[in-house]
Amino acid sequence: MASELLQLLVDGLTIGVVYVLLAAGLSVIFGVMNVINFAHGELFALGAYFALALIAPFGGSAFFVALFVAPLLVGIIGVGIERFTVRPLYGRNPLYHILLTFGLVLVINDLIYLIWEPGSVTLPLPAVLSGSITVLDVTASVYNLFIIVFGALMAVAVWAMFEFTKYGLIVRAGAQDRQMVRNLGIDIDRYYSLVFGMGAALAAFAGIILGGYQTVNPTMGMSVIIPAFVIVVLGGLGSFRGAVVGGLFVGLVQTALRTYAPIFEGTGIFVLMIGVLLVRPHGLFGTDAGEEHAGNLLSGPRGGFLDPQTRTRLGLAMVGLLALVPLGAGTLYSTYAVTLVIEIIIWGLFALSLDFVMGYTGLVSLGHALFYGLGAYAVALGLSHVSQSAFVVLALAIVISAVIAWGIGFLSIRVSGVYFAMITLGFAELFYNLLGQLEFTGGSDGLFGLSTYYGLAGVGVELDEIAVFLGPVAITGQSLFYYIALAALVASFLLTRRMLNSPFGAVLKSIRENEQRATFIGYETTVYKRRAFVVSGALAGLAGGLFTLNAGYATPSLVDWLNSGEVIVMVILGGMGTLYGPVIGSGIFFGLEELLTGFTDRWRLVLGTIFVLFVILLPGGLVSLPSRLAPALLGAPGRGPNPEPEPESNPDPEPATDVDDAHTRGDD
Amino acid sequence: MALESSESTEPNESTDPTEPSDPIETTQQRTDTPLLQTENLVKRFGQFTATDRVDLTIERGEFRSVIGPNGAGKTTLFNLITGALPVTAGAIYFDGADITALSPSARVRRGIGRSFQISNVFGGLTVRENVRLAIQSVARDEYTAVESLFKPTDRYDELNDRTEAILDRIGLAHVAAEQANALAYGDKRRLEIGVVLATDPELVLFDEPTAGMSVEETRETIDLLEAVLVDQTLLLIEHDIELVMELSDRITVLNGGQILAEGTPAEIAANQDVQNAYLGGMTE
Amino acid sequence: MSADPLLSVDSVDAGYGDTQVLRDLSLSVDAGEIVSLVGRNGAGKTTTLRTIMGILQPTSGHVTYNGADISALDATETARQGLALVPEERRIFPDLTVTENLELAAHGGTADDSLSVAEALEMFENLRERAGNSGSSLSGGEQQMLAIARALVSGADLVLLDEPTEGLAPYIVQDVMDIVAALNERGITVLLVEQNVQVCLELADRNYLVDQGQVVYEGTAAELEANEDVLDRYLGVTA
Repeated sequence: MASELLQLLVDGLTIGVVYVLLAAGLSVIFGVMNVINFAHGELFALGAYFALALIAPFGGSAFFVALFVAPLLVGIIGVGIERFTVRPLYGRNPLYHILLTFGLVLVINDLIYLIWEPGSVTLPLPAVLSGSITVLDVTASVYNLFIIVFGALMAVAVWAMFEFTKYGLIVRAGAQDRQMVRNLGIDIDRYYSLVFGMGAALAAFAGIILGGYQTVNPTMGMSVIIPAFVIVVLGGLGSFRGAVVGGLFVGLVQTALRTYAPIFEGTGIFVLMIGVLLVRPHGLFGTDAGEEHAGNLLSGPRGGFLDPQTRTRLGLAMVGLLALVPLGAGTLYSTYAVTLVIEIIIWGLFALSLDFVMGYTGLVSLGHALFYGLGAYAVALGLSHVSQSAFVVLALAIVISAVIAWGIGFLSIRVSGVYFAMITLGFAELFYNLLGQLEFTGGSDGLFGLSTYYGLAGVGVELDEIAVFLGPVAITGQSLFYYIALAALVASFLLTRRMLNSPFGAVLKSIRENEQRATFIGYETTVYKRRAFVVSGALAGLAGGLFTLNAGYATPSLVDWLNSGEVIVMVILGGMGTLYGPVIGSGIFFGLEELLTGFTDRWRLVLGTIFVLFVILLPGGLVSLPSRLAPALLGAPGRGPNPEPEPESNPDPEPATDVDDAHTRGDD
Repeated sequence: MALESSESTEPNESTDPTEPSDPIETTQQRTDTPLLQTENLVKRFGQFTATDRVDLTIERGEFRSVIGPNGAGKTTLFNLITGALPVTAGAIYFDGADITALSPSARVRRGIGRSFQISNVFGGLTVRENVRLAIQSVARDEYTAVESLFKPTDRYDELNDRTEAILDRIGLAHVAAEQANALAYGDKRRLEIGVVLATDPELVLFDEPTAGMSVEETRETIDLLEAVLVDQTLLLIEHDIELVMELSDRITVLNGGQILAEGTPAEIAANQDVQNAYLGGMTE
Repeated sequence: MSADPLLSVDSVDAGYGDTQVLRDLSLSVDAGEIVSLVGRNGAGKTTTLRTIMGILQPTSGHVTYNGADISALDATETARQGLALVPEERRIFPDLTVTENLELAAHGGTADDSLSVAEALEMFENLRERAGNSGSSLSGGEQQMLAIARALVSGADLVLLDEPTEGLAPYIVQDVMDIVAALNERGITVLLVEQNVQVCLELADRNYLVDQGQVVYEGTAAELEANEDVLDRYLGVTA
């Protein structure tokens, strides 16, 4: 028994140390720069691949060289990333970083596929580190012990650097109060590159040692990034100590669960994270000092370039155009067009649902795929167990998503900012892992082979069995579904727009403007935010339900965090706080994807690059494009030839703070 | 600073017949109880005691001013009364009911309005929307959930009539469709007062309503306050002693978080403690 | 003023976004002086300090320090020229110790003639006792002392003090005033924002009265004290 526990300890610490190195950089980067770096996992993978490339020509003995050279190279890449992509975004809302680093994930990950082979590879280890030692019935491989000792040394070194050097002092101070560091005559911005580079190098270290322990493969970054976030949040964003304690803790817990309660291996850490955040909203070692003013919310232009009438006409024209798509399918173009546009419509609805809560109350849900998945599974399970009526199961999807959204909102809306984002991510990952394990949801295969009819109480039709004839064109099957999806999207748009014009919507807008003031004219703002979250969840559930009705299956991959990331990308791409922008964003996203896959296998590389450029150059979303270009195109007087009006992006994070200072000033 | 009696007395000793979930109830006049009463109110930030055993009683219809040097705890006291800060110890009664544990928004609905030190309106919304939001807040029980979710705001005739009435009263009807951000400083202040008025308060707390205004603007603002808020009980923080002396029924002087003196303007002007602590004898 | 002033602010406009706070504000401070800015809340005193420091850039007008135009410099650069801002909220780094707060200041600012960390701890004895404690554990008075000490360690020649006595008990107010006077004796020039008129009258060589973003009155302590009209109109101090 004792030996078993020791064995557990060794295994748990091995993983734990990797987590510590990974999370330390992530946490410090957030603490100092306010950047949520999704690309951290890819830097981790890049470390392993660089090591692979360095070791391959020389054999295992080159391992120790690679262990230091590869992180150095990744560190340099980190410095470059900070300098050229992150730096232009300082002072803006952290959402920009999500979009940016999401783009970087695509770029780096695809580069790995481009340069190295797609499968798993073993990292050659030197002879010294192979073999194992047995002490007191405990067999530990030398490599395990090496990881633990080496990782611990690294962590101590990093800690000492933070604690005892000038550099560390400045970085720690910067994490607490950036402007005051500047006031003391220290150019804090110069240190950002170093912090980012160091974080990247630490991630690379972690990648190499884990690569040697398991294998090196292109998805290794994706699989560690979420646990790394959990650790960072658990420990407290920006806290090095938190990252160490959290990393070791999660490593041990995961290993213990795998041994004793494998059912909870995937879900345990998320339950833990949610629990901790509910009790301590800033994590175990976090303080609210890390949380800064959110910068300018990047909502699309209000009013904007077109007058309302023109926009209504444009909208009607768009819907009309969309309605024509199925008519030409199979004759003018392949029926695939219908499939593609259905996807755009469903994701457009999904993105619209997110915009309703993100764009109008400022709550960033990083786990919105949860509701999409809930809707999908509600339909799938409903079809198998409740009714085969499409309307009944869609209603079920909406209701279930709304109820869960209420529950999650009840628990988490009082948690603010980034922590809210993380708690929603936690719930989504929890659900994702549950789906993979539960019997009645079909485990990791999901549910498929579903059939439905359109009607109620057993009276209705299947879409394949009927056809509507419009002259020579017969509309049937998927084309009929197309109209159902389009109708759902249009109805949802009209419904949410109506809500925004109602007293309820007026309160949401007032919260976006000034939450404190909204409280002082008598609104319980958390209640309104929660209601918005419920509406949003319900619509996301509808989108997921439509997906399953159309595709005939539901799998856990629908809840993958990448989907949550993609839908945020669509919202920001199109223009937040506009309702229609995200739908356009969906169209652009899938349109680009479709276009690029036609040209190259490396489409994600191109797509990622586009996101990165987009977020740096066009922060207001695509819907802001006309008003930006208008002066140049129309030669509007006074604006000159420069199509970039300045106030759009404010590089200085301070003004928002200043105004607040003004409000609280003389707080006698 | 030691604290002998930080324990709050039984919070519900004054009668509280209906569970105070109904904001309308409080509008009924009960002249036997003071409108606002604080008992042994204490607020500490770490080791610093910002509010130190404050017992404040404000009668209906009164115009009360709170003065005191910087750091005396005036704004903290306001924050405790409005619920922006939780109390460390003590109790607050409004209209006889214990409101110590109520949220800020619940207190607003009970009838405690607050105007902010620097005008703090919804800058991105129009003047009309600003006022309507406040009207809508107190009138929300008059409409069903479905209505408040789906009925466009411009079809609430009664609310809109009330909104226009307020806009007329504060003299901003002509700029009702403008963005609040675009207003001149004085007009923002008017809007601010209008928004507070629209929440239909019984007690209004003003934190330096004339800060940063010229003498003429101050005069106009005060005239506006007196014209618009005739039915309300007013509690004012103000640096301008002359103004305070002229307007107040009673004055409370805070110093170091404690009540140093309280009385009519004449009494306060004659009070030697006040002279020493606040006026510093500088114009002797 | 015969020689060139150490700091001069000429016809400066500044503000936040659309809100203009300073309107054509001018003032000057000679080397070795203590000058105060008085006025009501919202008059623009803090904004004046922030504009001098370079946290805000003036939209028009100039700030000149030591004969050089510093209008376009940011806070990091002005700090290196020898300016230090002690903000109203003090902004002590809460998770750094007292010593670390001072060490950090020593890394920035100007290198020459600055007080060393050890000397600063020598000078501020209540800080010496708490050298190893974290910033967040300090009382308001101690935080204020630390904030001033930080400015000294950074080697500032001109210290911009924003409401140093705000929220402090009367006997600590006296300590702060003593320290400010001691700074001045070391040859450091002080520009002070203060609402406690008494403090200004005692400390300052000259006073500027700021109202609505403009200087509306300038005078020595004695002149200001004698000017009941100004006191009454702008400060609301009268008996």
